[in-house]
Amino acid sequence: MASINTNQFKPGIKLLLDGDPYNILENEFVKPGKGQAFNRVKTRNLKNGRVVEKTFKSGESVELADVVDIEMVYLYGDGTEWVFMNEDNFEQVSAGREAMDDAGKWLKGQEKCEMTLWNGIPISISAPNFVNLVVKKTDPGVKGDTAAGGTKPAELETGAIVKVPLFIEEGEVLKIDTRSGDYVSRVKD
Amino acid sequence: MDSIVTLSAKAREYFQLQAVTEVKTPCLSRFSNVDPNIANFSIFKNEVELFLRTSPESALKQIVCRNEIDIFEIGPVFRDDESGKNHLSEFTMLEWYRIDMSYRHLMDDVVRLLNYLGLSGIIKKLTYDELFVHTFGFSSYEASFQQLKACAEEHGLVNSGKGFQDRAYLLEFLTTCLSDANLKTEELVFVYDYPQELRCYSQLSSYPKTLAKRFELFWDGLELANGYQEILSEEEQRACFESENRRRVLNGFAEVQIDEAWLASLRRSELKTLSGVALGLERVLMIINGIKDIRLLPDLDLK
Repeated sequence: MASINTNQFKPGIKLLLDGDPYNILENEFVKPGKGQAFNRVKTRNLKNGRVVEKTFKSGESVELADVVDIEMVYLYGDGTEWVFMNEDNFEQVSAGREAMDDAGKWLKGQEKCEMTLWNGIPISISAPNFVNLVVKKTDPGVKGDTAAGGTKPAELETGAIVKVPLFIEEGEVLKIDTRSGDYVSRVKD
Repeated sequence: MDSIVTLSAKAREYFQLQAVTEVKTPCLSRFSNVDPNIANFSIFKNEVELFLRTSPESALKQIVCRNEIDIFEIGPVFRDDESGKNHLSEFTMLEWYRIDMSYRHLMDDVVRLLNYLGLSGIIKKLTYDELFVHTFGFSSYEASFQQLKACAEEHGLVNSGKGFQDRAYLLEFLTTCLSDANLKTEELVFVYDYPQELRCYSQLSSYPKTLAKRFELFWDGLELANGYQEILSEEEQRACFESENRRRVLNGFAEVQIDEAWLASLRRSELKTLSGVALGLERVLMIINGIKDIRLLPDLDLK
């Protein structure tokens, strides 16, 4: 198994801890004048996204996780399985519900997504930061109401439900921030 | 803006007023330090290994024991494997020794010096155990090994096998949590009366509990100074070195040669009480100049 010494720690290094892959977000060298030196590391568990702080004795070796991030194009899915293609070698990889988490509800096909593979198996997928989607169903728009104020739910073509301003009509194309799930603007043709 | 040079000049003025004698001791030594947590740089002369000092402690103690006078030294010290926003491989240490002064009174001496250097403010003194109980909810002195281990794991220490059998190692880790949780305030905070596992080279008190006559000074979680009421018995000092050598082996390092010159000076000395403290001048400078990363100090900016 490949391993890394704590003095080579830096953000982006992927570690295997208690059987899970973690990404280093921050690394700090902590050393009392007298006493053991430590590396205090802020890490993200790549399976569940939780951020935890871990401390290692400096100079120790820690096992690396075989984790890679690649760009994949989303092809199609059925709600339990989502199929992606690597445009470099046309290899297809399918991701399950756990790896997809919420990403699936923003995808309709042909989007470029970032896929994280651990030992060759997808563990997380990030939808593009912004997507443009058509409003399939919402209450009728309120004319003239373009000021900031109330919101209403709208169902998009992928089935995702987002809060939109009251003036939005069915059939309009909206720009959505997938990281927060927020409406950004209308997209004019 | 203050620099190491102006700060050193002020410190010399303070010690002159206090009738403390300045000395200059060698940076190169035949002996490396025994402490498994501090690494020397070494160089070779005619195939003989010599070490750059990590502190002037041994040389200064030999002078104090021989001459029985208060002394100080300002000079560079070197530590391998230490670098970061609070750490330099080479830094300037101000270390001084006071005869017939207890560690408690030495804390006040440190405050007077810092005031003289232009660093003043609220001063707090807390015992190690007060801080420990406040942070973890149990006393460091009475804690079982299992309790310390569980607490360290709960605070994110990854158990990699080595060291986890060692009570001192767990306490060293928990001490870093203590300072992070409680000492991040812009006040001068002394922590004193350490558990005996963290005595380093300080004397132990035996009543009411066995405690180390040691203190550290913090500012905003940053350790500025470390002081002891010094061990004056040769046997006790030798036992400390031997226990550090055992810890070295436990941690996978080779044993090192014990500094016999240090021990010989204790053997010949008739001193009754001696206290000493070391202060990192770059860190004092960081605070006075309001700089958050030690590598950005003007003295070090040579580009």
